[in-house]
Amino acid sequence: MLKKSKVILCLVLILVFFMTISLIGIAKEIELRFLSLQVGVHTEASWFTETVEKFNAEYEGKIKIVVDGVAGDEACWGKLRTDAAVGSMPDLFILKHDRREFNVLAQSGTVLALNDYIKTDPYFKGILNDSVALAAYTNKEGNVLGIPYTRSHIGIYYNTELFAKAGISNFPTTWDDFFVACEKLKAANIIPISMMTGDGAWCSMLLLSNMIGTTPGGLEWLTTDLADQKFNVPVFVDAVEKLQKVFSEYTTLDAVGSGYGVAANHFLLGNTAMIVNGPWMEGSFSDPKSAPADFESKVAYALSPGDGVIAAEGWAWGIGSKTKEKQDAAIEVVKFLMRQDVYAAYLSVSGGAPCSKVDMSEVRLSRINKDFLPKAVEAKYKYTFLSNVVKPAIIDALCQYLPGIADLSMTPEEFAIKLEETHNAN
Amino acid sequence: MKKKDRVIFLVVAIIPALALFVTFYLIPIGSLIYTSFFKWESIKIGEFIGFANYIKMFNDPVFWQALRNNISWSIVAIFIHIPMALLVALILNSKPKGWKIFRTIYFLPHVISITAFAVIYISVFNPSFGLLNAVLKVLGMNKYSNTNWLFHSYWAWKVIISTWIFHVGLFAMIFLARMTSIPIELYEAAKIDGASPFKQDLYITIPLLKNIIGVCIILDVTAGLRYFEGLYIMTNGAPYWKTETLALLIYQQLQSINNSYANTVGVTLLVIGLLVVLLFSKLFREKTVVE
Repeated sequence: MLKKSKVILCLVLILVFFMTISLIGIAKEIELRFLSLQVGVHTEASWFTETVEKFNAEYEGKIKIVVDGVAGDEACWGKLRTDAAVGSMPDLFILKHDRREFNVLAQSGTVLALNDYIKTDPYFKGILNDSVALAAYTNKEGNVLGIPYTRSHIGIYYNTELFAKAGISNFPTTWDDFFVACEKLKAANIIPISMMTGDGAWCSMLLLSNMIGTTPGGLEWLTTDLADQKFNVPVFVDAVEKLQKVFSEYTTLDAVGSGYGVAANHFLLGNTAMIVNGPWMEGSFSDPKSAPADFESKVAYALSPGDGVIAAEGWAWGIGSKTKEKQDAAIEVVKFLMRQDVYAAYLSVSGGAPCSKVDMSEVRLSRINKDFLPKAVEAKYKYTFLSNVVKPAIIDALCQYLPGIADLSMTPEEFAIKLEETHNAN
Repeated sequence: MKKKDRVIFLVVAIIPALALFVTFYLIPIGSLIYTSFFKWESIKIGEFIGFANYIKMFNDPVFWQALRNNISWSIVAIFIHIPMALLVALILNSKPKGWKIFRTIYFLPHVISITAFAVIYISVFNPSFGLLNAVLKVLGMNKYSNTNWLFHSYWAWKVIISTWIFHVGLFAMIFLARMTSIPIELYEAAKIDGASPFKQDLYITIPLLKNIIGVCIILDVTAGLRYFEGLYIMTNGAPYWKTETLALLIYQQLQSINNSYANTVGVTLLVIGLLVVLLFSKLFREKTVVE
C-alpha cells in the first residue's frame, strides 16, 4: 500500500515538474498582437510578412508577433476604433497622422505615451532626429503617441509617351504652362488628367492642395489653426477656380462620382496622361493585373506646377499594450522595425521618406523615385494635403459640392461659402 | 398538464427568444436613445447635453433633404410601386399564356443582391460608356447622351428611384398567393350577375386584399427607410446631398465620429418607422363583424 502511494506521489511530482517547466517556457515568450493593413494585396505586404518572420525567428522564445491583418484603410481603422472603444487595443498598430484618426485615438486614452522611452532610451535618442515628425504625433498634452516611421512626398505621375505624342517635352513648371499642356493633350485626343469626386475625392483633393500650396499665402492657409480657418478667401477661391477649369475641360466624363479605382484605371490604361497620387501607386505600374506590360517604363513623377510638393506625414508606430512587460516588448519590435536593414527594405518598397536616421545608400529606390526624390527635397514649397488640415465634414462636403464645380452650376465663391458654412456647423 | 406547469413551461420556452430580443433589440435601442442626449464625438461618451443634438438636427439642411427624399420614396412606394405590383398580380392571376414564365421573370431581380445591382447601374448610367447614353446616342438624342445621370442635380434622385421602382416581383407574388385563397364561388356568383373580369377584380379581389395591401405598403415603406447599400455605392448622397437619405446620413455621421448626432438621426428614423407601421396598420385593418 505504502509502495503504491510512493509510486503515485513520484508520478505526480514528475508531472508537476514538467508542467512547471512548460509553463515557465510559455510565460517567457510574450505574444504581441500587431494590427496591420499591410496584408493581402497591399504593396507593402511582402515586406511586412518577411519582417515579422525575421523578428519572430530572432526573438524566438522571448517575443512573438501575432499579426491581426485587416485589409483596407477604412476596415483597419474601423477595427482599431472598435478595439479602442472596448478597451482591448492591439499591442502594435499603425498610427496615422490623419486628423480624424489621430484625434480620436489621442482622446481615447488607450495609446501609450512614449515620452519616457524617447527621453531615456539611448537608441531612440540616437536615431530620432526629426522634431517636426515627432510633433505631428504629439497630442495637446504633450504626449508622444507614435514613433514616426514614414512621410510621403506626393507629386504628379505622368505618361511620358502620351506627353510626347502631344508634343510636350517637359512637365510644366507653372500653372499657366500646365493649362497649355492640357490644351495640347486635348488637341491630341488625350484626356489630360484623372479626377474623382467619390472616395473622399482623393486625387482631386491632392491637386487642390497643390493649387493652394503653390499660391502666395497658400502655405499660411494650410497651416492655419483649425478654429481660425476660412474658406471664402482669395487663396482658396483662386485654387478652386483652377480646379474648376480642370474638372470642366480636362478630365474624363465619369470623373464626377467616380472613386479611386476608376481614376487610377484611366491612368493605368493610358486613357489619361496624369494623375496626382503618392508613391504607393508605383506597384500598380508593373502589376500585370493593373497595367499593360511595359507601362512602368512610360511613367515619370513630377513636382507640382509652381515648384511645390506635398510633403505629408505618413504614419507612426503606436503601442496599445497595457502591461509594462508587453509595452517593453512592443518597444523592442519598434526598434527592430527601425533597424537599418529592415528600415531600408521598407523605404525601398514604399518609396516613402524616412523620419529618422537611416543610411539611404542601402535604400533601393525605383527609377521613378530616384529621379523624383532629390527634386522633392529641393522643392520651393512643401505643404501637407487638405484633408490633414480640415474637419472631416469638409471632405464630405467636398465630395458633395464638387459635381457643381464640375458642371459649372456652382461658382468657386459659392463653393467656398458652402465649405465655410459646413466648417462653422461642425 | 396542470395550469401552473403550463405557465412555467411557457415562461421557460419564451426565455431564449426574450433574451435575444432584449440583448439585440431593446438594449441597443435603449442605448441609441440614451446616447442621443450626450456629446459623443470620440471613443468615450462625453457630457450630457440634453436636446442639443435634436436642435442641431432640426437646423441641419442635410437632415431635411434626407427626410424629403425618404418621404418622396415612400410616396412613390405607396402610389406607384405597390399599385404596379397589384396590377402585375391581377394580370398573372388571370393566367394568360406563359404566365409562369413572366412570374419567374418578375421575381428574378429579388434574387440578385442589391450591391450587384448598384454596380450594374453605375455602369448603365456611366456618362462615358453607359448603356443609357449609348442608346440615347443611337436615337439621336445627343443633347442628353453625355449626361452623368447619377450626379446630375435634377436627374440624380429620379434615376435612383428608377433603379427599384420596376422591381415589383416580390409584392406581386405576395398578392398572387393571397388571391389564390379567395373563394371561387364569389367570382362565379359575380359572373352569373354579369360582372366583367375588370369589375370582379375591382369589387371582389381588391377589397379582399385590403389587409395584405396594408402589409405590403408597410414592408415597402420601411424597406425604403432602411435602404442603404445601393445608395452608398452609387452616389453616397451626392450631388449636394440630393440623393441623401436618413440611413445614409447616419452612416456618414458615424464615419465622421459624430456618434451622438448619428444616434439622434437613428432615433428619428425609429420614430418615423413606428409611425408608418401604426398608421398603415390602422388604415388597412380589416373590420371584423361581430354577430
